[in-house]
Amino acid sequence: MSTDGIRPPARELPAAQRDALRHAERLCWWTLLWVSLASTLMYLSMGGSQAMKTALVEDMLSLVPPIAFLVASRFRRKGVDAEYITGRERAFDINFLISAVALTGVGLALVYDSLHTLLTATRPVVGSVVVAGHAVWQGWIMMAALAASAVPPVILGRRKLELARQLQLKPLHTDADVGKADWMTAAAGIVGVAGIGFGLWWADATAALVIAGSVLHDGVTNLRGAVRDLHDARPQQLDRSDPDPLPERLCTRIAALPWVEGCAVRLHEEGLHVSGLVMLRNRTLTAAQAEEVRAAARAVDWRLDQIDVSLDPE
Amino acid sequence: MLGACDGYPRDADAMTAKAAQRGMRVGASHDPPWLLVAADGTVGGPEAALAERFADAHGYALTWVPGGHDALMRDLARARLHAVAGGHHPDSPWKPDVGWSQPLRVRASPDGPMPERRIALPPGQSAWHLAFDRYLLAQDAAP
Repeated sequence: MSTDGIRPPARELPAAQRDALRHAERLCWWTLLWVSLASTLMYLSMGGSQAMKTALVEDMLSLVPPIAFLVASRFRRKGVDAEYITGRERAFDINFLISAVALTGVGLALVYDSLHTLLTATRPVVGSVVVAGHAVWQGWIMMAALAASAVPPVILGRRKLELARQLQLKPLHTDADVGKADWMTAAAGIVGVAGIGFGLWWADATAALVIAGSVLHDGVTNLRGAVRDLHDARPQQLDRSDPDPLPERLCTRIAALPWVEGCAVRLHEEGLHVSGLVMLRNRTLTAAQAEEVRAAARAVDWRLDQIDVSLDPE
Repeated sequence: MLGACDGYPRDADAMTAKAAQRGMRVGASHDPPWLLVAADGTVGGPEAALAERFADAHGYALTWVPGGHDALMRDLARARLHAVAGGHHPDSPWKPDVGWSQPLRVRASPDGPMPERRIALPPGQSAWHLAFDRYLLAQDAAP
């Protein structure tokens, strides 16, 4: 096959960002290890608590973003080839869509489950376990397991959030967000189990419903984000708040070139990068001028990758 | 004893208080040789004796409610019974819906086998469940 038309490889990440990506991958491996251990601990101690079951599902779910991050990161590194002629920068967008669909689906299932438990007034079963020859209320063990499960997401989540903010890594920010939902889930689970101890059977299912609501909210928010990304919508800031100042900065920089009579930009995100079109309100454009625009764009921000330049005299 | 704080954990439907005030109502499902329900409704066997010893130790009156296993388990799930003895199958569909005691460690004859058998307890009644299990463990520890 001819190599004509193959897009140049994506812009190399700056050294700091490259290191950050490696660091993020190591954090993801740690997340997988700790969350797996915490989930096993919760499974072994969960009894009949609805809130704890919900917290366990949330825990298992929080494995999806780091797994998807690791897969996407590896896939992205393969870059441009004869099959993927425009590169694999969108691997993180696909990872994001997968996580969002998983979160939304499970959120819906959990809301249904908790509502069903509440409406049918099902009493949660919390028995006893034998510790050193004594029968101990299982609720104590469940609360301890939930508290232990909250520690890794707090520590890893803070680190990921710092890294994501510092280096504008949106997929890592999503992962950290899910981690935050994770420890909040554990806290709500503890309240639910403590409620069972007070004889409040509905406390558990209500806590589960609150958790399920938060999972669903995360899922829907991320799903909207994923749909935006797949439609090449305008770039958003790291926490998905509007607007990203990057297009404005680029436009100002290009308009400052002495020969430019006016400009507009149409940018979209592609994984870690931002690409798009710069439209100049000039009547003519030389190859040298187009290259000057691209060079100016690259100097504005490391995220700006593939910039096409065209004329838009209107 | 570990975790034996007064008043915590509690029952969702005050089963402990009801046992003290009105007596224990225990479902009996014919399951020889562990639990025997005679034609006249009299209940016997090693599991029945265990439930009676528990009631005596706590000063509760005990009323046996003989019946079909599913009907008894339905009542147990709604906290209308304090326990159901006999008739439990290891793959019982009721398994996740009700509580299960610690193993009973009873024999049908002095040197007979001691399979793992449990009594079903109402869900959501943490204090009641814990008291029953503590009694069973104390029995095991007794010489």
